[in-house]
Amino acid sequence: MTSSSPLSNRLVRPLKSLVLLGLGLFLYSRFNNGTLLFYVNRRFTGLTFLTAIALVTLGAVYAAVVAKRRNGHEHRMGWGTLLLVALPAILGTLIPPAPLDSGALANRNVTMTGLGPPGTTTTLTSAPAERDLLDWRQAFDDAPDATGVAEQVAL
Amino acid sequence: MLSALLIGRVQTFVTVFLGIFIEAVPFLLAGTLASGLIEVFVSREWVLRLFPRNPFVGALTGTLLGLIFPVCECGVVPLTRRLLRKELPLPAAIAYLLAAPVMNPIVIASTWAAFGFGRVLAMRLALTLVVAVVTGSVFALARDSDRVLLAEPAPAEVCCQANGGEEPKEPHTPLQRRRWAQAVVVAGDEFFEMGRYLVLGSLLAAGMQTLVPQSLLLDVGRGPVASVLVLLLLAFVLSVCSTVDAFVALAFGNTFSTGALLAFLVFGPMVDAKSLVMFLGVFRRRAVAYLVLLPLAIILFAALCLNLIAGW
Repeated sequence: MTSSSPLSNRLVRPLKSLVLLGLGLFLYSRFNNGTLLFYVNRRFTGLTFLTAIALVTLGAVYAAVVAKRRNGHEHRMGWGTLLLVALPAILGTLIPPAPLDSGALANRNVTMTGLGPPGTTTTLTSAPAERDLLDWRQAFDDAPDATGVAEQVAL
Repeated sequence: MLSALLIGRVQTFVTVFLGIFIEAVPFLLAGTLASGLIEVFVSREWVLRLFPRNPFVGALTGTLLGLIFPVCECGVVPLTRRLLRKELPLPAAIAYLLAAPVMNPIVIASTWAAFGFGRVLAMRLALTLVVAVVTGSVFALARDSDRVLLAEPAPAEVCCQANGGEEPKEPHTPLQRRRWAQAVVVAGDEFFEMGRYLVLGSLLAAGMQTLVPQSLLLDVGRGPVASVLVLLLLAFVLSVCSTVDAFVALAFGNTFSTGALLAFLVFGPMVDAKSLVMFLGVFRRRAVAYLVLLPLAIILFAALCLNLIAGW
């Protein structure tokens, strides 16, 4: 992938630090306010939290290291690359988090019901009180009729 | 009414895109951190002593080198060039080039997380091993790395961090601290090198999931032959980093056959749009043709056999 207009060495690395910090803070904000579950399955929350911490740490250490360096070679990098890597945080901030609607879920037809090999049907095993919206959708799909989930209590 | 529909589509697209990205980014980060540490703390000379000269055994050893020298497809190209210039036998180097993006702990872990411990993970490793050993052994016929490598140094864009250029040294800093600092810089830089491909791949996958009706994908992906061809093409075009491609493949899991998914998971890390550009900056054109066509032919054959004979 070619870069857009190249940035000077003095700009690139401080901007990289900012993007790393921004991505980490974005992930942490989604973890902290509970909207992370709109995007990923519950089993990814711990990993995402650790990633947020690691990104913030990496961004801070990276900034401290490059601040001491007066010069050095830098791979050509333009605004395009920086913006592209920052895009998840930008889009996630501009577009308010919301769960997928039923039409999108039907069209997506992917990891919403958990992780399993292709061609197999995942069986829901989580207790009702631990289910998120996607788990409940599968519970309704799995039930032969609505009475199968009628007595179950959600959080 | 129309604007509400459009807003809904955008909302869906962003949610799907962020879902793919957030699931994948921990593995990308782990890969770049490991790469930074290896770049600084592992001596290549130590690794070079391990390689036998027999082409087949050398290729087999090169295939497994990724387990202790894990890099994905962007980092492996300049690293292979450097190893070749240090007289590493061609079969071992070519096998490492093709296999390292799959045969490494991070990719194995991400494939396990996405598909579980089952036939997809096992077949991905087995097929990668076969392709890398066969292609590496064929390159033994070239005998001399000068017949494979371009004479001129690669352009700047090709130089990734994995054993790439030298960083300047800060004065009055202890050596060990300087090396840790170097590892952090390499990891940070590589996160951007690879992160842009992850974002692009996530955007394309999210676009497919949002805009292309499931029924259309099913129609294309239903045939045992067409499904393999479609995912081979997608693997090339999407250019998703091998540390995270299992999650993208998972998005296709209920639509395409297992043989087609394996074609995506094995061919993509070996040859895709971004690595082809890097190949052309490092290797001669004839060598690049072999590097693309041999894996393509073997993977296509294996995937079709799985679909048509094994019925996967």
